[in-house]
Amino acid sequence: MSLPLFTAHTRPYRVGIGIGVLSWLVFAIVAQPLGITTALSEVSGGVTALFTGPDFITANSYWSKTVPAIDYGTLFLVGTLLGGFMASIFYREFRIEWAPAVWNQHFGPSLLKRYAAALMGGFLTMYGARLAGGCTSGNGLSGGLQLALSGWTFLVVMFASGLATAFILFKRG
Amino acid sequence: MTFPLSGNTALGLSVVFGLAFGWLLQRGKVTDYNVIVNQFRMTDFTVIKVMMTAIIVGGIGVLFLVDQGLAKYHI
Repeated sequence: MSLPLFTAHTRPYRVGIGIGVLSWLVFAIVAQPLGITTALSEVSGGVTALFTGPDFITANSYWSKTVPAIDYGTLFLVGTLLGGFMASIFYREFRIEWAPAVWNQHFGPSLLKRYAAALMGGFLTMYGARLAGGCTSGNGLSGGLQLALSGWTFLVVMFASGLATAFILFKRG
Repeated sequence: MTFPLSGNTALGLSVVFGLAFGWLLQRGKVTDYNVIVNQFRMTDFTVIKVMMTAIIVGGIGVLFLVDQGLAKYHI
C-alpha cells in the first residue's frame, strides 16, 4: 500500500518543508540566514575591482558593505547554482531554452524584445533587492520565517507589485 | 563540537547547504519563469505553496532554536 503523499500535487509542500528544515541547519550550524543577493553584490564588487583595483571598492559606500570574499554568501550562491543544475540534469529537465513559453504566447517570438525585457527586469529586480537589503530568499523567506516586520513588508509589497505588473502586461489575455 | 562552526568546515558546509537549496528550488519548479509569472497572474500557486510552507516550517524551528539560545536572529 502506498499513501498518495509523494505525488506531483504535494511536491511544492514537500519542497517547502525541505527549505524550512534547511533553514534550521543553516541558522544553527553556520549562523547565517538563507540568502542570495548579498553575495551577488559581492560578486559585482569583485568584477568591478578587476577594472578599478580593490581600493575603489573599499572606498565605495555601497560595495564597502559587501566586500568580495570567499565566504558563506558567495559559496552558498555557487552551491545554489550548481544544485539547481545538478537536479535538472538528474531529473532530465535540462534543456537550452531561448525564451520561455508563457512569454512567447503573449509577446511573440522576437528574441530581441525578450532579452531587452529580461535585462530591464533583471536590473529592476536586483536594484530593488539591494535597496531592500535582500531578495525573495533573504528578505521574504529568511525575514518572513523570523517574523521580521521587514520580511513581511517585503512579501506583501513584492506580491502586490508583481500582481499589478502582471495585470498590466498580460491584460490582453 | 560546538555550534556555530567556523573556518573551513563552515565554508565547506556553505557549499553543501547551497547545493541543497538549489536542488530544492529546481525540484519545486520555482526556478521556472513560467511558474513565477503565472503566480503573479494567479493561474499557478506553486510559488506561494513553496514559500509559505518553508516560512511556517522554517519559522517554527528557527524561533525554537533562538528561544533555546542555539541560533541568533539575522535580519
